[in-house]
Amino acid sequence: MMASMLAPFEFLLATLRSYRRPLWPHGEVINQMHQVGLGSMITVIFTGAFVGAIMAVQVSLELRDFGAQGFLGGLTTSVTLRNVGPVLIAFLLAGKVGAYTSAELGNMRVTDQVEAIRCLGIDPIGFLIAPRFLAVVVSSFLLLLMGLLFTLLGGLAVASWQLDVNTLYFLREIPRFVTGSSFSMALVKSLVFGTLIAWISCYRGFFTKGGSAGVGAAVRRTAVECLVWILIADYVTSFIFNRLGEFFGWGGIAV
Amino acid sequence: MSANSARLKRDFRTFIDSCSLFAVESVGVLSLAISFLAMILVVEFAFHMKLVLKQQSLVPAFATQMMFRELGPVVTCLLLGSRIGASLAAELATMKGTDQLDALRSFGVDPVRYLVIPRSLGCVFSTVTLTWIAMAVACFVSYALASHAIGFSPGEFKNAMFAFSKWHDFVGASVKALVFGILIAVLSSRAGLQAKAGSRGVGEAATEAVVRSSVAIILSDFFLTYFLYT
Repeated sequence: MMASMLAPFEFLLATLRSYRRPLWPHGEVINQMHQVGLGSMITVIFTGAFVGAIMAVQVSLELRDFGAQGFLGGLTTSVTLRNVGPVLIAFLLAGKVGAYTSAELGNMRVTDQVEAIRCLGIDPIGFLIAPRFLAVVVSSFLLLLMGLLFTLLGGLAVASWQLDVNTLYFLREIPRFVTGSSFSMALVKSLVFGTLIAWISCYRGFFTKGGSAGVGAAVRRTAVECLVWILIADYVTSFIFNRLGEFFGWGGIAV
Repeated sequence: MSANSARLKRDFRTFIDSCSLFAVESVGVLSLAISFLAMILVVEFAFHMKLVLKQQSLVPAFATQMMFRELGPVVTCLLLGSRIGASLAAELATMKGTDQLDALRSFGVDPVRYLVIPRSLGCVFSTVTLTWIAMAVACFVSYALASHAIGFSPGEFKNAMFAFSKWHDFVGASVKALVFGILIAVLSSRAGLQAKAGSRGVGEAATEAVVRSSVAIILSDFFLTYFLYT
């Protein structure tokens, strides 16, 4: 029981230890980032824009009863940037990047390619996992930031076309609500979610068992576990940031 | 006992099996995820209410409304989309890779009718019922935790909780879950049926199912929100 609970941490440690002496071929990280990241870009842009649009509609519905449509720009951007945006885009990346990586590694495992690499005297963690881990962390982080940028554009588009909020007014309200702490929270959350996706997908993919049905199971477990851990990490980050904000007094009340 | 009723009985058994696979085994993980989501919503709305209104009395109302209208059905169905979509697609792709679909066809059995439709009905049933369960869990967790940990008094929280959320929101959430369930079932069955042979094909089909259903959920959610609530 204890050993199985520690196994993911041992895996992470082994991966991090292998960075001391890189084993992978030249340009492998860039190659992986190209494969993982470039294919996800269009999807992330679309999802980001739609998440922003959904939040703009929801927030405007909540504000309309109070006649406070003026707050729309700031509040939508703040809610999306701090919380809903990173979570929903990371959910999508868990499927697009995480499930892809875990399917690829699982396929290598069940077709004995991992064993073949070990037979050649090469550490499969350093050769296969380390470049993928790095590539998934970096590209998830960059894709999340790009998605967050597009949430802003999506919210702006819906607000000015459908909700009758002046575009310039929408933009002017943003800096009043989105303070440095909210912005750094979005950055930290993106990095944390990217690391979680990389960790879970590499771990589940690397330890796939049981033929082609096992690959399907690895993909399923990766996607579900990523989603659950993303929500848990989201709460923990929000909690820590809010406590730190109270302590240092950068709670962000700038109205 | 005609052939038709025997077939219905068999389909019903597949439906129940897939419901237990999709729904019953997801309840635990879904409740965990939704509990954290409910807590995040209360914490974040407390932050934003302080920012805008300078007081917190309406936080439970806003958080519950956001949960019912938006994040409850969407997060539930994204989670179920990963779980159901990947297992449905992987199962069908494994069957296709081992020529079981062709074997069914050679017996004159339509694989869509025999395999896909009962499982899809199970998927839709699971998304709708689990969305209800998730919303109940969310209400309970946000009440229990916010009234003890974040500094609301229990009575105050309970009174404010349903200030904005009405039956309309509940029906809206159910409609969303229904549409998302249909999308998950259709897209992942299609990914599974079009898979290539071998373990690579199974992995690709499962990934495709997860990605397509998540994208479809988020895109359709915008239009559903727009038509249901504005």
